[in-house]
Amino acid sequence: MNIKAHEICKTFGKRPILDGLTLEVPSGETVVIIGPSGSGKSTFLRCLNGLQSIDSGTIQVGDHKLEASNEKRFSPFSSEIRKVQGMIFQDFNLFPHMSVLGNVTEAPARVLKHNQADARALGFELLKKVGLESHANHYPSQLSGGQKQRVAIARALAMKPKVLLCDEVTSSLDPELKHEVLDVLEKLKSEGMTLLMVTHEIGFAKKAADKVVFLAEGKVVEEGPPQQILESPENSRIRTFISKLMS
Amino acid sequence: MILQIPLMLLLALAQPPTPLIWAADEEGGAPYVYRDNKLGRVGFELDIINALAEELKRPIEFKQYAFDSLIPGLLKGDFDFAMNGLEINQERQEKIRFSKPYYIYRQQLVTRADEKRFNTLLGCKNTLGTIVGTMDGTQAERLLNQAKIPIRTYSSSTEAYADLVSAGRIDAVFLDLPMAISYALPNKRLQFAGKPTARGFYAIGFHPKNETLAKEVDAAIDALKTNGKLRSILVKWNLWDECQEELSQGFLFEEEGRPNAITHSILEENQAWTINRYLPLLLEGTWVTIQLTLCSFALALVLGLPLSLARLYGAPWLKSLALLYVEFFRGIPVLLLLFFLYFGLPAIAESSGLNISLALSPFIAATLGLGLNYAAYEAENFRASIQSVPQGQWEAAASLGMGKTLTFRRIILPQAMRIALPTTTNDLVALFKDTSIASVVALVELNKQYQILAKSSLKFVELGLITALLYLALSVPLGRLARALEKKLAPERR
Repeated sequence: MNIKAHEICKTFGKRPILDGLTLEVPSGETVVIIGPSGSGKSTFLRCLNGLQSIDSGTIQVGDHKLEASNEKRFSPFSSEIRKVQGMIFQDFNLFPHMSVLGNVTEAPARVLKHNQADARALGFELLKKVGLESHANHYPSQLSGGQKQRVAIARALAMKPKVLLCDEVTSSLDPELKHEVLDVLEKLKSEGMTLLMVTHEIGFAKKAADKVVFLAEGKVVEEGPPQQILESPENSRIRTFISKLMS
Repeated sequence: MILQIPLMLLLALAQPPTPLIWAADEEGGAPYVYRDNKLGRVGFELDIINALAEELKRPIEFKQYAFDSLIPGLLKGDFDFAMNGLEINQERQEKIRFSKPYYIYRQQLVTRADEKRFNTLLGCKNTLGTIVGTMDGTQAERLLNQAKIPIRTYSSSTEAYADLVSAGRIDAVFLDLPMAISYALPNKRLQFAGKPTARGFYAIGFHPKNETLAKEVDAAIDALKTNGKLRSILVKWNLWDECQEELSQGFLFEEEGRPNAITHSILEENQAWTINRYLPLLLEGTWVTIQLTLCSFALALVLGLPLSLARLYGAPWLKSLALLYVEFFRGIPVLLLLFFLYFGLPAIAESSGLNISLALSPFIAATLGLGLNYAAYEAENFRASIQSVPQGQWEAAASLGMGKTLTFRRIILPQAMRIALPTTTNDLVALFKDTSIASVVALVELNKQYQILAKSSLKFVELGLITALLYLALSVPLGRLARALEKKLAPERR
């Protein structure tokens, strides 16, 4: 399922965060967004997921559309677009009062009205996929950061999304734990999942991305295949940015 | 020594005599000593005091003192003597020195004018469901308890008669004749039921070591009896009756120089105040305290949650309304609220001509008052707890397609309750102790039971310790339970 974002504008107060951002993610591809902090990367993902309103522009994911709306009357709970999207957050946002299995089965059981047995079966299947079926009865506080993020991925997958939005999903993990999360994402890509990721993992981008987009001041500065953007970008800002990341 | 005496005489002549301090409770009600709208402080005891002051040639100053505390205050040395319808009885005689009596009291049963079911105490006892009102720590209360008649006690006669007339929470009032004469006789809606019974004596109380002053006052009382001043005061207050003739028949009181309680006090109890006697009563009070705590806290929780939701997510008008509730009930003393609910509501219902009775039972009034008050605290506690659940939890649930209500119920509320728990449990312990306030609406919970027993037995220390232990036996485990719960829930936090 493809994503089309057209001329997205978003301001916080008087400060423009997204300034006419246009981006396309073809179905089944993996697109990595990089850019300096404050460039609007996270805001863009949150707008795509309908967690935040947009001032103008249009968003289309498959057949689902998101229009611009008034911020005051906006409710993050009304968006239909999530039926096809899952979102993974930097700080996991697992439900601390529920077991690992409970985290995964909550939405299918309550939103999709699966019966308990079906929800449990689905939960175990997904936990197996992320390698955590033995931790089903643990609580989030008993897990490492990498394990938490894998549970978060399983939780998102439980709603059968066609697109996964990943917002700096490895940023709060220790280096040796990052790969276990990235491995899961690579596996999902190989199964045909459309991935839109904000990340600083240059190595992962080179290996897995179909396209890399450099964002600054709420606009796409340059986009293209990973080799082009990461190794020989036209814009000198990208070179400086990447050399800082690598150092 | 010999030289010193003329010196002291000189000093005494040079300075005006130091006034004696007399303690009584103005709030106890007429006709002893009380506040009149126009005349200020009046009462037949005040008249007797003035006559005594004249006789003793010493000024006497009034000191306001809660009736319950008169004897402890006297023993502490806060004033020279207590005179406030103090009945002579054995327990008191063991603690303090009584003067010669100045009035022979009897007890009068008063009912509503339309009462047909009974007109004696016995009839009262045999009529199912009747409750008789009386005052704390009086002989009347003891007599009723002895007769095993269900009672409700008040701290002033005014409240007791008011509850009989307007609220109808009680079926009769059994109190000293002077009070009945002051309140019930002029009231067309009340009647005297039967003849006055159960004689006893009012006397002035002194510290047992203050024998000198007591003797002087005894002599002064004798003088007032002889010269007819006492009689004219009692006549003026409509208190003179054939009984009072005995006052001047001195021989009745001359045994060992002071009245003999065993001869005179008809209601004297022969049972000793042992632990077997008062512990069951204290346990009964404890049970009422527990019930009151649980009921009012349940009310506080049930009201607190919707209030916190209205504060957080309500429409603007609902938000302001909830805020108003919180500010109002946090801002007024619970005591005032209880008084209003118990005594104020029936008066409102009556004066506005409503056909429904708003006379709440003491338990309901106390539950409502404490519950409404604590609901304000719980509302704030819940609001703060709900707000302190990280925003990311809302977003994570939203991104999974969960709706607002579902998210709140399944994700936010359970976490908020864990955050709220320590404060909630603290509030429960605080409420548990605050239930003692309910004694003002005549509810006999643990604290009130202590007061009643301590006043009758004068064993303030012993009973106080046992009562404190009973409170601790409940509040300490409650606190422990709270900490255990916190620990148990802690591992689930991230």
